[in-house]
Amino acid sequence: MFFSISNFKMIFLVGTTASVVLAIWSIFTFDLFQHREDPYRLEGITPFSEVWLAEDDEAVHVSLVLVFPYGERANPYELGLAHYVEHLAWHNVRHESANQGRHSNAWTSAASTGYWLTVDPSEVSDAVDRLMSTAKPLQISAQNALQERDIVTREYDLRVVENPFADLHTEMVEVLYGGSSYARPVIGTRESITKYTFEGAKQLHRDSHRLDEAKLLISGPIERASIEKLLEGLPKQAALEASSDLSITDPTLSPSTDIQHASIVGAPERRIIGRSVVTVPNGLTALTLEALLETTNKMMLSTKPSGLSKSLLFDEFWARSLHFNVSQSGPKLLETYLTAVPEREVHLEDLKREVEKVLLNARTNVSEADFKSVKSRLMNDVDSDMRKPQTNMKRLRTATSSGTAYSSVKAYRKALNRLTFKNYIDFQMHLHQAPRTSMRMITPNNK
Amino acid sequence: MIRNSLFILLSVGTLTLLGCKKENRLVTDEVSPLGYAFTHMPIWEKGVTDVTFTMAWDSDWALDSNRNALVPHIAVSVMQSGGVTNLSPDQVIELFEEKNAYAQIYATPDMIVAETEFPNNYANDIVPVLTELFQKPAFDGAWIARTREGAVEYAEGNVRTLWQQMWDVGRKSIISDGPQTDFLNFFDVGQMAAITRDDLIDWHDRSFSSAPRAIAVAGPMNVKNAGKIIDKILGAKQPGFDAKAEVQPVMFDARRIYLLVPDAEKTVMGLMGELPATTDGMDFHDLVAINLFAGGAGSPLFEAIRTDLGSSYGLSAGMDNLSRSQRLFYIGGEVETDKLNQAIDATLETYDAFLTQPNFDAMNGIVSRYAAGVRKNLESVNDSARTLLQLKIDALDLSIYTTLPDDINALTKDDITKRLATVFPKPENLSVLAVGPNSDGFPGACVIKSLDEMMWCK
Repeated sequence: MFFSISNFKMIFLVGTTASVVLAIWSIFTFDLFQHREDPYRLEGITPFSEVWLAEDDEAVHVSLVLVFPYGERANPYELGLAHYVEHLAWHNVRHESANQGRHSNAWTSAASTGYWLTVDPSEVSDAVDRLMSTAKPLQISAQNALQERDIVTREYDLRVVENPFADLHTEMVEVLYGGSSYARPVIGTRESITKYTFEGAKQLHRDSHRLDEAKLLISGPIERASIEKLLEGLPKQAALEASSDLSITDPTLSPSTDIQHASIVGAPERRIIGRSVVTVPNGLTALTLEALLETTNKMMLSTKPSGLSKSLLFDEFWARSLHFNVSQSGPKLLETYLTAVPEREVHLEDLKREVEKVLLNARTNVSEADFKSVKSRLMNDVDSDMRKPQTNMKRLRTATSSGTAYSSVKAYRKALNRLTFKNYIDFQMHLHQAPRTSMRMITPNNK
Repeated sequence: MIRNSLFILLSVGTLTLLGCKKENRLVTDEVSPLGYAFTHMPIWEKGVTDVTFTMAWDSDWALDSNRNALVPHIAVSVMQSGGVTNLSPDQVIELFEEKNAYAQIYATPDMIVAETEFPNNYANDIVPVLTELFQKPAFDGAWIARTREGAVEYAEGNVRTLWQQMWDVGRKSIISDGPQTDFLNFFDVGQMAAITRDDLIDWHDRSFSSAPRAIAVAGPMNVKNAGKIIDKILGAKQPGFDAKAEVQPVMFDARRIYLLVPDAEKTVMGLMGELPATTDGMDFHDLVAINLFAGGAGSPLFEAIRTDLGSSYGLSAGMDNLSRSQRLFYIGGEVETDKLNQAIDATLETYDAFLTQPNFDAMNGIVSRYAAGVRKNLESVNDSARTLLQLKIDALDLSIYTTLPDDINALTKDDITKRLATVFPKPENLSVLAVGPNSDGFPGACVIKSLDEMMWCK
């Protein structure tokens, strides 16, 4: 036979060996966790300040998000006006669409205002036009603008009325951030909403919705070349002098401790709510801060002795539920938020004392073994996220809407990996020294 | 000799890999060594390390007027909390955290569903704990007391949002009083406070004395090991029990009821009607239809209630189960108090127009998004296991797991038109409910000040 069995064996062996060698080579030369879907910035694209693209061939639709870097914090007018402006500008998006806004929505936060839609790949050009229209003069009529103000009131009712703690949080925020831009509620107040005018909204819109300050994020089954061609030659928005002062006033963190009892109508049960504010520690990179925040939150809610849950929920029945979170509040501040619901026989004052004792212990008496264990779990979570193609696009969206710089999950992993026990305990001491705290011990006042 | 052996080794290895790849996501019905029927789907894909087991039992406890219908709520919570022989409750949590595992169990009026997921290589750590939690839950007295007292304290606070009150009215008008309603409302302080450890033990013995109605396993695990784990967790088969109690009858009799809450600062409305159970396998038709009707800006409901009338931030529409065999369709949300009458009329008119002459402009977009979303979800191990479990519970063809995204994509206007015409409730058959501060209620409504007064509403 021309092709003998021994020849076949040889070919098979050679082929298999070659495959193994190739596989080993690729492990060392390619980044296993790099995805084609990772977003990258397109350079030199006008009229936006930045355009990011993530090519995701597995997606069916293209997602587009346009984010303006001004939210309620930058609003110098009636409380919540930035949210009203978003409602009105979103009508521009709907107005441009035959489908009147399906698969589209918008948001206002403290730090940004954003508009998004998802479309078929064939509709991307139209979608970009529609998003850009949010920066054009408001197309809604004066009469409909008035009706939209009623809709904002309805939204206020939905989010605030029947939330028994809404007023309480407004009060606490005033204590923590009083007098600064940080104390402004995104949803406004019932009273402030009645004072919105169309002219006032138009003024804020003109100054806060400038395309040359906005970031456009695109992801989906679309190629770079077609996006660049589409965006090429888009008209720049004429630079107008802003008439609104959109600067943000930071709170002065003079020491203040505010602890009160509160009897709340509609509260379902007794509870303690505690909030505190401190500056971001000097010298920390954004990624190290992110790692510290994640590690702290995971530790505090774990059943590790260096956390809160074991002592408060398990060793003794002090609380039936516990929530803890520390997060960034703007670029310069950190806020810690804790709430605990006592067991039936536990008095609020006793729970408060126990929570303070356990929190102090969790901050000053941390076990290095616990830290390493929690860090290891977080590393596993991050490794899992790194395998998901859309992780970096999600990180980009979060960073853009919160007004912070984007960094990849790979960069975050490095920062987390480098985190030391000393970093962690220094951070806990820093949190512990928060100068401004507000606490409420709540009892229900129900009929 | 060595070369030949190496060749054989490589060949066997290659063929084994080829064999694994062939059975990837192949759904089969199997039986464990102890006789438990289960549906199995191996997933041999890069990066997939976790396996999900999910199980469902029939239950009549919450349907039996001779029993305390609230026991299942407390029992499922305490069952997961008690710890095991060598591990305290927090140590169990710590173990699961450490091994990136989870387990949960929940109850509906006529079923109990349990689910667990863990990395395959930690099965030896997790399964013994699950076995003990399941077969011999501690039902620790202190944990029972804290769970029960917590629920009692919450109920005593008597805080029901207007939305919850609207649903209380809706359920009572549809299924009247009885254990099933008590279970769904979960607000009777007396029943809660009366729960004892004996009740929980009784519930456990009764609930798990029959084999599960359905079991589904998905992930990187073969049939043999899956069967072994099922047998370990469930133990030897029991003789079972005869379910005596049945679901309460439903009465979709299109009543109009207004619950007056004088100090309410807003108004909530709701419309409810009957839909067939999911056993007809067509609930994805209903999802598309409801999205066409109420899915965001541009939908008929949004345009009528928000854009044209300006009466609401938005109403939602959806489906809900009162039990596995009893499904309802609802439209509801907050409306401006002074525009309630107009909002009700506009909703009914819009719904009527939609039933008879639906606008399909948005259909392609909705269908393609649903299909893409389902396809994406089914990549995950736990969503796959859950889907297989639901198909099995409804005795539907398991091949639907594979074809579902394409089935959704293939939906036509005729499919939706037919579905709207045949199963969606007619406007005149919808119950209309509202809760708010206006003592006039709305036209034709029976105005009540408490649920007890509903007995006077025809």
